Amino acid sequence: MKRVTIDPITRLEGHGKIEIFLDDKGEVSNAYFQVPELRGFEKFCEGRLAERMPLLTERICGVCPWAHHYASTKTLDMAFGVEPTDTAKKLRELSYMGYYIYDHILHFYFLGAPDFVVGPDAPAAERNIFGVINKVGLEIAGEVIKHRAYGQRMSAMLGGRATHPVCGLPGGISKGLNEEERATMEKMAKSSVDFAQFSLKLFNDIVLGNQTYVDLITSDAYTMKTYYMGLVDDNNKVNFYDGKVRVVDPFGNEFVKFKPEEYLDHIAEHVMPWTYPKFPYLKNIGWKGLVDGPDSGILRVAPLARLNASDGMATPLAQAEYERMYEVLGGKPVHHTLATHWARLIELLYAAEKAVELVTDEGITDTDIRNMDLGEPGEGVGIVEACRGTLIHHYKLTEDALIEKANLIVATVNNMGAICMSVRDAAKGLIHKGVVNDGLLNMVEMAFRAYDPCLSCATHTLPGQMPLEIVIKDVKGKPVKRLSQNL
Amino acid sequence: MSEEPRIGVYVCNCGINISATVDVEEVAKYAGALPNVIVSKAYIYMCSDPGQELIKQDIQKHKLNRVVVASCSPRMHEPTFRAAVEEVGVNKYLYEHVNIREHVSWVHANEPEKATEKAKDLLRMAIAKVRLDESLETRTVSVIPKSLVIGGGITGMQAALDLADRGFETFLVEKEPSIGGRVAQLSVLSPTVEEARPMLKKIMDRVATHPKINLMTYSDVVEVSGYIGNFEVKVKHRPRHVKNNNVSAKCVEVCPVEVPSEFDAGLASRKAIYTPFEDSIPSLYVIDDETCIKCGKCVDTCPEGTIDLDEQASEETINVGTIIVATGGGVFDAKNKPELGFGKYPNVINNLQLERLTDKAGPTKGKLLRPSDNKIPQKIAFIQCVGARDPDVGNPWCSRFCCQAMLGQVKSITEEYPKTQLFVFHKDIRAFSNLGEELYREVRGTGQVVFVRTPEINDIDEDPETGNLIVKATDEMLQMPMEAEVDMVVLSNALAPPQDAEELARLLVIARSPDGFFLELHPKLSPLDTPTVGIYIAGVAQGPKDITDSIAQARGAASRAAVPMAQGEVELEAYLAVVDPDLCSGCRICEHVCPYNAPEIKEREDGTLYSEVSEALCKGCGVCVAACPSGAITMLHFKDDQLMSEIEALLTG
Amino acid sequence: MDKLKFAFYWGASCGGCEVAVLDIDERVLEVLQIGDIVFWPVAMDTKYKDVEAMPDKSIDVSFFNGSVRNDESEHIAKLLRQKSKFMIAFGSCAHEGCIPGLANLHDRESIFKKVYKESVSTVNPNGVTPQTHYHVPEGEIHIPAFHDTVKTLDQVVDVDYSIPGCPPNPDIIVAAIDALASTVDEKFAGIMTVNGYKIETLPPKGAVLAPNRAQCFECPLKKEDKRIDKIYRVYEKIPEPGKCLLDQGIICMGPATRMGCHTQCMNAGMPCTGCQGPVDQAEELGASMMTALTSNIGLDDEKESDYDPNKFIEQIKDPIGTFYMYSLPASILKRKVMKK
Repeated sequence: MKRVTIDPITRLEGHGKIEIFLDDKGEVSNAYFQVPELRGFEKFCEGRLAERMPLLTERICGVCPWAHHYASTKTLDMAFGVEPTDTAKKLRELSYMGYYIYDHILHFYFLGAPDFVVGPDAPAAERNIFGVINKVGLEIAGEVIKHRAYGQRMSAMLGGRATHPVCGLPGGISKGLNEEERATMEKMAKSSVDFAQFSLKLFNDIVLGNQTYVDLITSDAYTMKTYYMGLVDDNNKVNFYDGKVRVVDPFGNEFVKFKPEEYLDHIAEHVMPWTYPKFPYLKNIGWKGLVDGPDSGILRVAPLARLNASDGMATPLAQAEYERMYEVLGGKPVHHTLATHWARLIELLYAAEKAVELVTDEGITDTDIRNMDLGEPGEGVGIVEACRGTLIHHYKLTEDALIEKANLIVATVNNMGAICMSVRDAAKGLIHKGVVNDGLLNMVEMAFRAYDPCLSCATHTLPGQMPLEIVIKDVKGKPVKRLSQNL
Repeated sequence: MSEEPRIGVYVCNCGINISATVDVEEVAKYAGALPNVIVSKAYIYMCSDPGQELIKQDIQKHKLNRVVVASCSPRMHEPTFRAAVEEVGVNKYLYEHVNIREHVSWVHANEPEKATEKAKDLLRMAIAKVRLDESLETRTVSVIPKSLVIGGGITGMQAALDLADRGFETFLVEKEPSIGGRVAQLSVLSPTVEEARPMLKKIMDRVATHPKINLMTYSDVVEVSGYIGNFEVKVKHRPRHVKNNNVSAKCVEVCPVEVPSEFDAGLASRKAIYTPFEDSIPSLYVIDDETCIKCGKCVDTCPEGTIDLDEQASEETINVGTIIVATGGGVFDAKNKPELGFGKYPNVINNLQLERLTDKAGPTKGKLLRPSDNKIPQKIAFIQCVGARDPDVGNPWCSRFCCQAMLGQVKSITEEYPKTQLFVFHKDIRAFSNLGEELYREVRGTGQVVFVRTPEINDIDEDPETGNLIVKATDEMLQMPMEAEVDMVVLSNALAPPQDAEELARLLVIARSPDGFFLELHPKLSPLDTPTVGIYIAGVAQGPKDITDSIAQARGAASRAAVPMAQGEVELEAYLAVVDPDLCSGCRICEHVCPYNAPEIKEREDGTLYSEVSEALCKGCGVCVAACPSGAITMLHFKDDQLMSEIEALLTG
Repeated sequence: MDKLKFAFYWGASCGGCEVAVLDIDERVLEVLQIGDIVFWPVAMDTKYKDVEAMPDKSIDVSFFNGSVRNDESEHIAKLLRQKSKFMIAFGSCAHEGCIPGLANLHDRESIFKKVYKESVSTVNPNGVTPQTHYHVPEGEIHIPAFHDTVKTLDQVVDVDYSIPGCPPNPDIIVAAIDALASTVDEKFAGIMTVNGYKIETLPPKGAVLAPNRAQCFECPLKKEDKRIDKIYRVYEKIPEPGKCLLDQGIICMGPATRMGCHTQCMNAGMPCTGCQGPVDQAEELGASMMTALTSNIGLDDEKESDYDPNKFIEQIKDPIGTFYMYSLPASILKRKVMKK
């Protein structure tokens, strides 16, 4: 049996490799998406000061540190029984929109767009941001760089720094905005709205205007019918910072809507022996293996899933784009994985509009940014939507406010089952009669790229030696002796 | 350091002190094989003249530039060898001293092989350090030829006289309205059996009239700054409110305030306007601000201009080169031993009160009358070691003077009241001087005194009708409880550190020992020095003692203080903490860790801060070097790389 | 002109250092004037086999971020060392181990037990765990084995220079690239716009490419008396603005931490946690700060006879997490002793 290895996979965050097995006829019998990295955050966070968790857990990922920072901060809010002030909530959400602006621009232009702008089977040396810059020209490249930087600068104004911010505190935020900062941020947010619309137009022209790409997007190789999960506000509109978790079934009907602290009733994790991340699934459906459909507990998160799981966008321009996408792609829910790139740009527009809404709120420069009325340390759950999916933090604190235990279900990992299936299906759909070349392999990689995986997030854990248990039974099947190691 | 180290190593036999345990030849041979060691020898007495000559000649012959001597404690001979190498042109900080006597041969006498290995280890470490030693310049500071003596008791007065006689202008600061101190309260001295007052008066008169003594009574030292040889001292003068000698008995009579007299140990009272005792110097009256109610009656009665109730305290700054602390001690408060009944039963008094009762100028004109009924006591019990040799009240030490004082008091009583019977309850009788031992024999010979050795007094009860006291104790010899009914009990109270010792220690930055008295630099070799050059201690301030020893220490301290003042300058150790301003971030961590307030935070033009350690104040203790979180402070002669080289040398032996 | 060749790689990394490179914004175009990037998995499709095919020392500068904690990162670290003229430890993970270095308080076994058995959301009745070699119906597939211990880059290969920070500040990144490029060839001098922390001459090999001084030097907060009696955790008080946080009893690692980040965290009202690592002459960051802090705690109480230092020390609840948050693998401690 021939075997093709892609190592490492590229243009994503994190380490991974893909093993493709071809049978005698040159068809793909299976493909395995393996993630080799592990660091062990849930374990080494035990014993740490609780208020350091936003700083510790954000090092799970330097691309989406804000997601961990605020999931962690919200967990502390609940654990200390303290409600942040209104101003603090607005400031947190505003800085969070800054993060979304930067991260979605980063993914689309730097990681995902090369496949479309330069072409999926263009020479490898050109399939990157530098190739994109060459194609679109320095002026547009300048705008890309500028707005990515705006996102970072907006969030850094509150967080101290864009990567690994420091401002989250139980009950509030450490820094507010003065009028000068607010005015600067307003300019950046408004410019980002324009840039988001420009990006949607670019996508429309380069991708939707190219029939080959449209066929690729709607092909079976890149389509999967799963459950979809995302945070929504009280009106079931997409919200990245706060809300309840809503899951819809493959037909688009609401399956369940739950509060953060109820997550354990609905989400469980499965372990595979050939890769380090775990595989979350819907507990009440059950783990049925790497298959899609309404009977399998496999679910998906991130932009496409969020739009599928919601009833719309909370800001007007984004709402109009939302309606357009579903119209073009034939109604809700959309199961075409590559459409995630489109959904991502709609979210970019929403994030920019939301930032404008928050930064022009009359109370945004108020100084009551901390509620000091903290209770005794207890237990808490905090959920936010990272760019790449629903992120859950859950801590139990000791009486000294140290971490007794921590559980994290991290965004991308919710997509792990789907990613493995997408890679397998793409490989099966694209590679035939043993023909393997760089372009085709890249198109297999495109299957995971749409998910914008953050594999550092997915693999915050750390495993160890193989456990083994041997049970010796007698003739009647009764266990006589048990030998075990590393259990 | 550009030159290649050329090290000379010398291992001393110290007669047999070292060589009986350590194989000095082997150690010298071992050292000789180490890198950069040019010569390595063993010799019988390195500190002797020939021993030192050996080093000097080798330096010249072999062009040695570093020397290590392994011998006794550096306290003994480091200065000796440093001086020797300097004589032939090697900077004394290129010399290292290794202690293989107190640290090796004397403590490991039973394990000669291990001792020899340890000697090798220590020598190897010192050689590692000496390779990295650098020449350092000692600094000198000039010394102001003026002295400050704090405390106008017998010790302070004697020290001031000796300094003034030598020609040094001396400030004598005393917190009470008069000089004289504790001795003024005594009636008869022991064991010399002479009257206290005339002896004291001679000294007080000389102090008052000496042209070189600047007397400041009713004054306190409130601030001390500056450094060795250049102390700036702020003295606060409390207002006396009395401007001249025209205060009459009538003025005193009209004062409505009456308080217990401190001088008479509570046995008599005084007014708010008072003079401490008859021969006070200065002889001015004083009005005590704490008790005066400002009624103004004295102003009306006295001649105009005599009294100024509005007078304010004034401050004066003096600059001196040396300071002697002679602040004496307090009296242990026997109320802390409630079983003795002090403060409860009127006929239980302490030794100071006994002095007042037997003083012809005292409240009873010298008649020994017991307080409750003014009768002459027929039976008296002395209790020794009250507040001394007593860990339960936190005073484990011996108060030294009380045994001999008691003997003198007992002798006087037996002479004046031949019918009175006395008991002395004691743990030991420490009559340690020649006269003291003789006095002890005499007292025993009177037949009037019963000495009872007892570990402690169990209880003292009072018979309320008679005012008599029943003393209960365990006779140690007989191992039997005993009781004695007496008319009066005298507690031989120990001396205690003065109440303001803590404040004074803080002002002068001198240390106190665990017992609370001021700490000397070395109990045997430097009993009067403190770690700060230029500040000395003497008398009871340094620990309980009698007048004989106090005078000896006073004269000794004056001699010590005279040395830097006569030389005109003082050499300071070159070990210093030095801040590299290019590395210093201005974090201010070092500022308050220094016990000597040496680091000073300065501001550059651009507003950034940096620390600078005052060369004069720095004692080279290294606390700031350790505390500095960015390694910006280095300790000269003990740099990080030097210390690490010693550790590495030890571990990689 | 012949451009230089750069490589950026990540070991056990969070990706923040890659983002940090992008945060130099338009100056990334200046980098492209100086050099071509020949290997950068986050942004480009060069694969391992392509690197293996490069001649030795053909890459001018490799920037390696992330720590070394499995066979893969160790292998690539050694590969890049072989292929590069300069090997740079980029960011706190490579420089001193960073936060994932706290895993050195545990070993594989205890962490494995926690993640795959004891985690509250994991359903794993058969106790399955990932294995380095696993047979699937189609054949055997591998994932790299994990080491018990997180290592810094210089504990695995010879490192030329380190750029500190979690992640490094854009200005020190630019200053470092400017200094390295100019040293390889003078013609590259002046291309990078260096906004601050300019390096005039590249220091001797092994140095850290950032100013050699502690944070306090740049910190805008006013430093006054350091007499700390009570330690406050950041959620226990709202600090007075404009005043040193350590003076107010909030533990700030600034005095022991190298500057070079424009005091970002203090600008947001929070204390420094030490991500830039130590200065040259006080290499043991955790111990330096512990000594500095404990020397200043309870200074007024020291003179009292009932002084009990424990009263102050007990206020520091998580010493390892506080003082060795980023530097455990590089410190004298390195890791907790394992029972084997």
